[in-house]
Amino acid sequence: MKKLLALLLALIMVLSMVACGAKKEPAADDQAADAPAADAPAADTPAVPNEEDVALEFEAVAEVDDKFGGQLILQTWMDPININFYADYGSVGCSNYWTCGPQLVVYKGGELYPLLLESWELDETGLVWTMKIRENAGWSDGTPITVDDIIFSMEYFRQDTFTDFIFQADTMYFSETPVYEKVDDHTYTVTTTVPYPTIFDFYAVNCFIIPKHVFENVPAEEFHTTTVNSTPGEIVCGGPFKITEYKIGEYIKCERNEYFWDEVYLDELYWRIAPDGNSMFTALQTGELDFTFLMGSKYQEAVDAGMQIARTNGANYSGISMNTQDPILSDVNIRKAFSHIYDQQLFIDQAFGGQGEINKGFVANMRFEDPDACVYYEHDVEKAKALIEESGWTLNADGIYEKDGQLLEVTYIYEAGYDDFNAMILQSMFEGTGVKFNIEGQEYSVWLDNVDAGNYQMSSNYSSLGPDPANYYDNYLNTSLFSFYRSETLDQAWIDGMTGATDEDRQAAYSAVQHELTDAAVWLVQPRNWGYYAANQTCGLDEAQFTSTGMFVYFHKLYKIAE
Amino acid sequence: MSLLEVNKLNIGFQGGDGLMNVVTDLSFDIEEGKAVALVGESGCGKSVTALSIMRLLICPPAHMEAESILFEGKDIQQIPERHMWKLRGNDISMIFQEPMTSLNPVTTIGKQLTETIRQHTGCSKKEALAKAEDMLREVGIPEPKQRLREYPHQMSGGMRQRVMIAMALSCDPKLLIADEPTTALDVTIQDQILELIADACRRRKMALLLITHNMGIVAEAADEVMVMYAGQIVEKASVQEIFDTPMHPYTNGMLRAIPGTAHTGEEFYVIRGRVPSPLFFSKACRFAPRCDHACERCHKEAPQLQDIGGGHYIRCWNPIKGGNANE
Amino acid sequence: MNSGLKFVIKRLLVMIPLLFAVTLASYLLMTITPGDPMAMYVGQDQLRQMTPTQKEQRREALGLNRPIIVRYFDWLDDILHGTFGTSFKTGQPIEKEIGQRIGITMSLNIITLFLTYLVGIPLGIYCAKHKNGIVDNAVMLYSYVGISLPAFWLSIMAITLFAVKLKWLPGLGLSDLTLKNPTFWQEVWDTIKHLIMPVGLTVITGLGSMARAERNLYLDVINQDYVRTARAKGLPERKVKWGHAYRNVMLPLASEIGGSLAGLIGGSYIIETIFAIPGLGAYSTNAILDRDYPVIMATLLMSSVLVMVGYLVSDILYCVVDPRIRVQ
Repeated sequence: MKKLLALLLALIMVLSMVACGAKKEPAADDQAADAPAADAPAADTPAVPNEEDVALEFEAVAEVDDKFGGQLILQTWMDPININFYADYGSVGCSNYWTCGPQLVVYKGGELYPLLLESWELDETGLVWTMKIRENAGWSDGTPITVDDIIFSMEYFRQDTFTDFIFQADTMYFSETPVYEKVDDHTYTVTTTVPYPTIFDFYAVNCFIIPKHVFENVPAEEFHTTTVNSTPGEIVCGGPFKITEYKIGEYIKCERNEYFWDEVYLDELYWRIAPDGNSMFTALQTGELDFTFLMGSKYQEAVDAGMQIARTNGANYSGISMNTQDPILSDVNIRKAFSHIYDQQLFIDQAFGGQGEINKGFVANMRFEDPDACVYYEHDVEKAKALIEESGWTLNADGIYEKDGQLLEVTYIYEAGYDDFNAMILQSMFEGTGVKFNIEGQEYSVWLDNVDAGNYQMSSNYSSLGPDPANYYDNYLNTSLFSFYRSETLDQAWIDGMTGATDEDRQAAYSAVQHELTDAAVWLVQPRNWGYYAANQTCGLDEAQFTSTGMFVYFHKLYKIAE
Repeated sequence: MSLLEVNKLNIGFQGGDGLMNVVTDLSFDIEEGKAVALVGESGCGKSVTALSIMRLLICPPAHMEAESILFEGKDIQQIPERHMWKLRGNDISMIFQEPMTSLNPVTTIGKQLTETIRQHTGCSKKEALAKAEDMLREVGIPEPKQRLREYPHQMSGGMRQRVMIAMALSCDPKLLIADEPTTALDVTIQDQILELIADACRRRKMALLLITHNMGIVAEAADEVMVMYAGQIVEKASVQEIFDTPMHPYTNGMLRAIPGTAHTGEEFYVIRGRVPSPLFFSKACRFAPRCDHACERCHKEAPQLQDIGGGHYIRCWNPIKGGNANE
Repeated sequence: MNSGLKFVIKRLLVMIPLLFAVTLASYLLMTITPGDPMAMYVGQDQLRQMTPTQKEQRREALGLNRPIIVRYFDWLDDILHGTFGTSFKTGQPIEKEIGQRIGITMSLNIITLFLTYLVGIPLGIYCAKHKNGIVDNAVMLYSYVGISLPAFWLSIMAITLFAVKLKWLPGLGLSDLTLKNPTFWQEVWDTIKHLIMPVGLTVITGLGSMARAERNLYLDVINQDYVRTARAKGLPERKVKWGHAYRNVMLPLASEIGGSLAGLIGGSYIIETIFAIPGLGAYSTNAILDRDYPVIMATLLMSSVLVMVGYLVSDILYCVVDPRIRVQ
């Protein structure tokens, strides 16, 4: 009898604890790999923030007289692959590069901000850039940064052993090898036979300047594994900070580089390595982190806690490919119909918890984005049905469209274990529309193979595209990313965009590209989600300028607000 | 003055259905140097009686109380638990039925012997080892020095029992309680061990309380016999008298049940019925339900233990006269 | 002890074919999984960038067109030459990465184990002595609860309570970054503060079962005949307990330690991730999620070795403590 009571009591206790636990958000499955490629947050819907609530920028929190001194702790997802961050090509390495490496220029929105590169000029032919770098810039060991370093880096990374695309970036963007020539210690020219407009995208995103005096004797094959520049405290850094300490799995400590070309406010900057979203948020609340990526589900809590919040546009959701080589989908009416069936707002509500906005353009965050040139398909099932029927499909007894004995049936493939939720949302959108919509999750490598080979009808796209459409060109030519759609006008427009001498020329070309791609309904355009970053009240972020890729334009202008 | 005097010992067990009284108002005494056998069937309470003397019963679930338990005139019930160790193994020793489980399997024989010796005499390890060796020799174990380093599992059952005996005797106790010491052994060894015990007692002028269900070994080893049934002593007499003139029907039955007295072709004699559960002890004579010799009074009134002369006590309204075991 | 030595050597020798079998089986299983076998040799990022012709060339170069067994022996060859290979994700030698993490994982697990025993054993004995008392029933109940509560939920609740609301303890990591030039002792105390929650939570969840096991063991032993004999021959209760009872109680526990060696590798994934502790648990599990095959094989090998060594240690301990087993 007593035993029975005890057992009952135990059961009640456990059940009540489980019930309590169910109210909290699930934890470990919110781990995203990289901040920019963050997956959808948990499905519980916090209040959709107003435009006024959410600032696109961090605003000044307090007026501070003396901004010098102090330390801030930022967050990063994982250990750097190589503490010699020049050799690192992961996103974490890049954040080290931005804090500690010499950055020539950087983009914020569509604007180019000069950093190490002070000014640039194009000559009348449009083929020669004269670049001027700052004269007071120095490496952290006191050696001045000169044009020698830049030219050395360009030539170094052109060597054959560097097959990783990141290091081949300048040839990746551009088919010929630009010629770099030194004019004096702080001036150089870049000469090409055709206009080279993408040079600044290269400089802003993928360009690594390495110190010549450190690496000149390191053979290319050993670059990734050399220990030459790997001792914290002795690593030669060209950015506002230098790395002085590194504890595996815990943190990277950076200190002010006195030789930086501008004033650096902070004494110390820490990158704390924290892989779990929930942990990061609580660390923010306890003060163990000053600034971090914020999960959408924590948005309201952060607002209530009075934190500084910035919203950026999240990952480029490049859309869902509809394979134009497939018999059913080769019909543009069907593709347009599907675009009308796809409901962006529903997707925002269910997949992003309301934290997102409808994408009227082609791809979010793209430079030369021209939503007006794009054809926008509003959610309208009636219109969709009209289009389908226009192509000769009729509803059969089961309520599915049929033509010549074939059902209007498509299968959507996706990476099992990652995109399941999104796939289900998609499937629910097609219910009752007369389209038989199947979803099929596949193991990652299998799915990848199928997508590359074109063995699919519809699939989520896997590439995340950079800000400049120029780097889409290869994809357009080679992979299934653009649904195997080709046309002569489109081919030419892409090339015009890449080679256009001025931004206006490029804009015109890319507008045409966007127009044709959307008109041909190559993709189901997906909405853009919002990514949040939060900082507690001790962070002075206003001058630092926050970019949409989740980084700061001016790391050296971060400052600490004393409590 | 008797060496050990037990007066009105009561032992009960806390069960799910209440307190079961297993031993009721038991009284007996043992004189110096005398060997007393306590005989009875399994379940009659003899083992718990033996354990209770040295307070080795685990209470709860057991519950014991006695008017007095006098050892050398002093009531040992008054001794607080933390001082009991001085008595145990020193003045009174006990050996048990299962020598294999009664010895610690992971400690050497030597260690088990010397720790008793050192505890009670405070001598050095070397001295204790020497004494242990002597004891082993005394109990007839060959190569005693070697044995000290061995473990219980390396010895046979008989040898282990010898070791137990050695342990019990090592501090020269005045009373040895042996709870079914031969029951778990081979028949061939039983005699040896019994003889060993009996000899040791005689030599050392040590009193012996021998618990057993086997009337056969009683004859060999005991001076006096107490027959126990259902928590009470039903007959007490010298060993001669018990065998020649058993008066209690139960004793009689037990003697008759010894296989040796049967003739070929006859069925074994068995006392009919079974020992009742302590919850259902009769308020009158507890043996009456099974007794062929019972009269009316037996079923109504509880008989007391009465002295019928010559040191012969009996608890019966209708004892068997004449003492022919085969009646 | 010559026979003892022989025993150990024999067991070590048996380990070799066993390890061989385990690694071969794992390798085969991985090759059977669907998807391009190249994924086992080339990281995901690189794979995406390659054109079909490049892939074919790489396939040739890697010898993927050879039979599976031959490829397995290649890997084995590397292992025998003392290298685990390099990780796909980071390109770093795996030995180095494991070396960087093993220290913290082992310390964490050893401390946890130690504390669990330290608190669990006396608690269990207390429960046994006061059988069916309040504490006993509470601990019995608690042992079920402890196992049932999910670790991540507990962690988050603990962090929310102790780090955010009460601000008694730090919420993640192993060091306080705001400390300026801490002395050695300050650093030690700082690390301890950071470990209180992760270690504490693991200990708390495991404590219940440890106490329960101990209690039952104790009850078993204390009613043994030899304990009664020890008492009967006049040993004071303290010596009865320490000399006889406890030793036999410790027996099974001492050998359990060997078995928990293997848990050192993968055991603490959730705690390590939530508390941002750079350990082997997170490392090995993340490798599986990232499909970082060289790391998977390396950690698999390590676990297998640890499991076998662990059992060997258990058996040796058993022999040392229980002389009955030595005969075999």
